Amino acid sequence: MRWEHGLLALGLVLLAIAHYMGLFVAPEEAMMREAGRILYAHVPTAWVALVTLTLSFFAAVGALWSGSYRWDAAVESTAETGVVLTALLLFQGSMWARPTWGVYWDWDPRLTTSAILLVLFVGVLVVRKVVEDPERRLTVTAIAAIIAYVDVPVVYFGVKWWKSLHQTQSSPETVASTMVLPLRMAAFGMLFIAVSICVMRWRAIYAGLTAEARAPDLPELPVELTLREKEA
Amino acid sequence: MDGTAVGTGMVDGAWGFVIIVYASTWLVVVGLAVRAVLAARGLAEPAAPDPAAQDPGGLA
Repeated sequence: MRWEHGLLALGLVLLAIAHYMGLFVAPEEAMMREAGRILYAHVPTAWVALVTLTLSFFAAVGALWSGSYRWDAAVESTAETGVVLTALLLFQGSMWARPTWGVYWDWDPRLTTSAILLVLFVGVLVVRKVVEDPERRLTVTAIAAIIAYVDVPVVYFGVKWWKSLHQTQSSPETVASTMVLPLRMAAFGMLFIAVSICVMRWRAIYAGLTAEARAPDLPELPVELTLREKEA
Repeated sequence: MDGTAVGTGMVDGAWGFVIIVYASTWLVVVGLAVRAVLAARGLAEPAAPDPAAQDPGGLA
């Protein structure tokens, strides 16, 4: 068993305890009532999605700097995990918005920039599948990931810049201690899960890239076969 | 009142949304984890012998 399997198990246990506390132990939120319990799932997902995409950005810089497939594999593993978490956080946010705001979706800056972030990083993964030459793919993916990452600080700080419908970040000073504990445990649980999944996916992707680099080029088709195909 | 307008929420009776959020979170987390673990197991298993390498009349 590798260390990332242990980290995954620890993350799952932490998340399970945090969610139990969020559902049954933490007090009801004064304004949002039961809907406030969604935050123990939504907020940690959002934090860890942005952390994962930040790792993708650093991996992209490393790939461009070194030209190494290790970094290239890290860009893909972190981007794909970040994309799934970003899609999840948008869904969770939508489920929270309906009982609190009255709508599933609003073109609020935080929501809009988060949706753009999802589209941008899906684009990174699409570009990666389209480009066949490994060296060109490394460069193009890394540049695309760096461009896509520009939206991450906009997502994070946008609520402060525009003071929109979505509330600004909370802090332990503004949240009751009975709510901070499950929130933090869920955040660490999600972080451990995301990191372990990224590492496992990195190993698989890097093995694939290595095999691709070692595979001999296919020989040219024999002339007779080509001629026969033309005649047919 | 326009039921789709911002500010017409229904703070009471939100347990259904809470359950959907927690269920979807676990579905995604477990799905990602199982996919990653299966891929890791595939790496750990010895690779099947390359048929082309064993066939003297192969392309190689």
